[in-house]
Amino acid sequence: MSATLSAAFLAVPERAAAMNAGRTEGILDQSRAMDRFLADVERRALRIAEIAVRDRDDALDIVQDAMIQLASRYVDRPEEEWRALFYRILRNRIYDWQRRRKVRGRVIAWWTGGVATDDDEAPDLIESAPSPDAGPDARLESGQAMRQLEAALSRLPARQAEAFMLRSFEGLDVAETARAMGCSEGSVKTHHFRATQALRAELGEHWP
Amino acid sequence: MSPMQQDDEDSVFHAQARAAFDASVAAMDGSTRSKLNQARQRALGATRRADRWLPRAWVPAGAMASVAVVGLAVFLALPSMSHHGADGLALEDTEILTASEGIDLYAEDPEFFEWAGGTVESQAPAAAVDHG
Repeated sequence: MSATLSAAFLAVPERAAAMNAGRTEGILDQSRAMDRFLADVERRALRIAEIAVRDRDDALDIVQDAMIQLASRYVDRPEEEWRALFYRILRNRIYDWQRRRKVRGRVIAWWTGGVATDDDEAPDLIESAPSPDAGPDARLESGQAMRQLEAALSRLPARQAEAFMLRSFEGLDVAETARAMGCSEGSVKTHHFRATQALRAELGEHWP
Repeated sequence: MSPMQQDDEDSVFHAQARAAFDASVAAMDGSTRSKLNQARQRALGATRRADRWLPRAWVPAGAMASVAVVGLAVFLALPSMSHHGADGLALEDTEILTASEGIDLYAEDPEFFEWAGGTVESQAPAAAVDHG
């Protein structure tokens, strides 16, 4: 019995070392997979956040927070769930930012006696106006088409804009979009359809 | 407009919107890309830090070590417990408690029983040798 126990006792460090080695390898694989995933989505996520908050530095902070939260809390979750999780976190961060901004705007408005100081201004119509000379490809490349689309998106209800960006820009399917938005698939279809109709009506037939 | 025609036009619009978005992503400046890269490295650093301090990494080794220590303690304690039984002390106590005379008898003259017990213990090894 003592020999068995001694052998078992002596085998503990070896087994622990083997398990740790396996786990370390697993952690490295997960870390590499997370790096690839974040590298794949970061620029698109930044543009989506930027469209929502209209400030690149704030959008960078929001995307960084979302990346840190995903990497530190959900790295163990299956890789195919990461996209919906990441966009859910990003969406929550954007809403938090918008809430803080609204409160700050109210405080500043009260402090300055009701003078509007919120720089949530309407997009520059001259800048976003289509150039009659440029063709669709040139307008796409110059960013003019996107500026017009962003201006139109900013006038949509938040849920519609969100559904449109996740489905049409990021290419999430209906189920992933529903998970990211925390609503039913039916709601996603409705929001996306209404957003499409509103954007087409606003941008006109000649867009881009 | 028929529903099918509308679906087609919506699809064209989605493709154009996607192209405009992709062009804006591709046009992102180097400074912003660099900041994104740094943000990603920070996020991955947070993963490594979280994992380094993750207690569960030590759970299997800790559990096995605990089992081994408990097993060793039980193994070392077993012989002394069985030796204690061989002396018959525990058995004697049981006999006293279950004796028909009652415990009062032992309470009348405890010194006598203490002396008698000592005598029996000192004679027991000799008797065992005699019988052997």
